[in-house]
Amino acid sequence: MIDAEWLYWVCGLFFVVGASFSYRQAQYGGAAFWALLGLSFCYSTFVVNKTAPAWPLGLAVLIIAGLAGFGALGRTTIATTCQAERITAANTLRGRLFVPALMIPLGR
Amino acid sequence: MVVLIGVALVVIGFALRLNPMLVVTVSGIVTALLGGLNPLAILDTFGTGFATNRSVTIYVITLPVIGLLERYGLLQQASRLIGRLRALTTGRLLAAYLLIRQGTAALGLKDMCGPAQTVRPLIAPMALAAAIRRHGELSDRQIERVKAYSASSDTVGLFFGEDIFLAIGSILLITSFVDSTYHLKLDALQIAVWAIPTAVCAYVIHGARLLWLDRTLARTSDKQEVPA
Repeated sequence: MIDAEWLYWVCGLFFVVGASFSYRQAQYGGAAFWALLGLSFCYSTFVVNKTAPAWPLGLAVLIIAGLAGFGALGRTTIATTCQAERITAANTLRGRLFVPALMIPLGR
Repeated sequence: MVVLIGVALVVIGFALRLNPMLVVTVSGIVTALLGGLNPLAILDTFGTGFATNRSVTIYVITLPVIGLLERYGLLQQASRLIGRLRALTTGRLLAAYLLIRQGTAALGLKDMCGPAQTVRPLIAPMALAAAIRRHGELSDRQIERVKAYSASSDTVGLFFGEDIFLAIGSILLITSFVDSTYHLKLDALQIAVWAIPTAVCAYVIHGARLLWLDRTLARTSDKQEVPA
């Protein structure tokens, strides 16, 4: 089994960063959801290694499910580019846009 | 038998279109209680279940990349690329991808492609672009249909391709189960060889459905079809 724990920590940190974005937009339900999810990813490492009990993680999972289930996440408008900006960007970047997209399958 | 009530709860919850997250969680708790687990054991089970299944969420790592690329015009560039290949319709593109997916999976490269790796960033935008070029602006329903067919070309390709490869979990599961239950000695190679006719059938059937998608799109759109 290839050790993927570091990758789970990256995932976890990614969620925690997401939580801080939600927090800044005063989306406290969303912030709680992402923070808890991120921390659970890291805590799971110790559960798998049997160095920490699993029940706190189970509790966290139930809270996460509850937050998501009762719509605590809300909806936000996402800052992004418009159609015209994208066409301009595509004009400059052209084929290079595919390089990162193709690296995803090849990197596996 | 009583513990199977949880399954019924899932069916009812989904039928009533309740929030799936709640439905699954509640039915999990109900099943565990009926099965005689104490609350702490239930929490333990949820915890270990989460910890050992984190791999299904790994794909989120790719989302920032895809988001960034879309911000800088990935879809627009895909449509430009497709625009040059006039003969490539949505159906033909997806049928070609189905072949690639099935072929690589048969060689054991089953993680090279996938919904997160190839469908979302590459195949679906190209399929959409091809559809828009040929049929003009698409309705939401048509857009969702093209996306769904893009995902299906991946799933069908993987499912009917991977069994041709010897050292895959499903083949080993089949051999070990049959060997221990029926006291036989199955040859894994034989299973892999006999997966080939199924794979060919799957390609022909699903490939035809993908090609048929072009007609469905033409029928449901207003714009006069541009001959390829």
